[in-house]
Amino acid sequence: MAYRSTILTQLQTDLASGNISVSTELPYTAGSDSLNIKNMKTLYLDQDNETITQAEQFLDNGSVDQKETTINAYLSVDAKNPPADLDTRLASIQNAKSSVSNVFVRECETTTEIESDILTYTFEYRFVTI
Amino acid sequence: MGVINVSSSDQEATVVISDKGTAYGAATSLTLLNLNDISLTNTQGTFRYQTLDSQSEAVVTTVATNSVALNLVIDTDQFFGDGANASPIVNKGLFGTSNDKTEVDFRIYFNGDTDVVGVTQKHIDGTGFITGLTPAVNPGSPLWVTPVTIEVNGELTEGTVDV
Repeated sequence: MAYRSTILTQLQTDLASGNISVSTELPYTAGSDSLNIKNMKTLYLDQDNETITQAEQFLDNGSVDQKETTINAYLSVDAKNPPADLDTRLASIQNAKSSVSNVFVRECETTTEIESDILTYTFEYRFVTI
Repeated sequence: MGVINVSSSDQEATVVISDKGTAYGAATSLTLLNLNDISLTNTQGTFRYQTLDSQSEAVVTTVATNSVALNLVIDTDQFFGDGANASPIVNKGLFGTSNDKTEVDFRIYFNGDTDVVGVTQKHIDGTGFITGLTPAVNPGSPLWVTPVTIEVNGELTEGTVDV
């Protein structure tokens, strides 16, 4: 099962109340604006991106492969007037990484960008399994 | 003349350890799996001396210290043995053989253990004791890996695969 659906289920529970909601739609661009800009205070979760690399290489031409999956999520808010519960909701979004099981790396990196008066958070979930 | 390239599937660097004196027969040997690397050490002992008629030391060689070091990702059957084989090394695996301090024969094939026409394939043989097992694992690298050292007892000899 794609990790997106696991995280999405967790976020729907964690963000059921409060000022931030989560959409089931992908973060596509509608017109000139991406959906997270058009619909602020709504989190959009992108598709899984997978990379398979060799964790161990052997002299007999064999290997043990590892699969790294990254998923980006996007949330935009009004930079001048952010929601009162923003910090709590950001923590919930980051902690949604814990809903994915059977991986040995589960991380979430958050970056921010301000354009005009819009503050956009980009969350990068990263999971690695053998 | 030429370099020894082990990237071809029929010319892989291979290590076989075998019950002592059994001539590396398949039934009494382990061809080590999941090898990351192999290092063979043949260090000559030396004795240096000075003479009044020379401005530099002279040296003579003494006895050599020989060993084999390798790293591998652990295969359960090879590390712990299958527990049901007449061959001690297949029965007890690397750990049991090390723990029992059992002497083994070993052979390092430099580029394949099956004859490839037109290619010179050398191997080095010896006898020694398995030691230096240090199995390790951690959350960021969740496969058990271990170094293995074979402390060589006596001479190393060289040979060539079926010619």
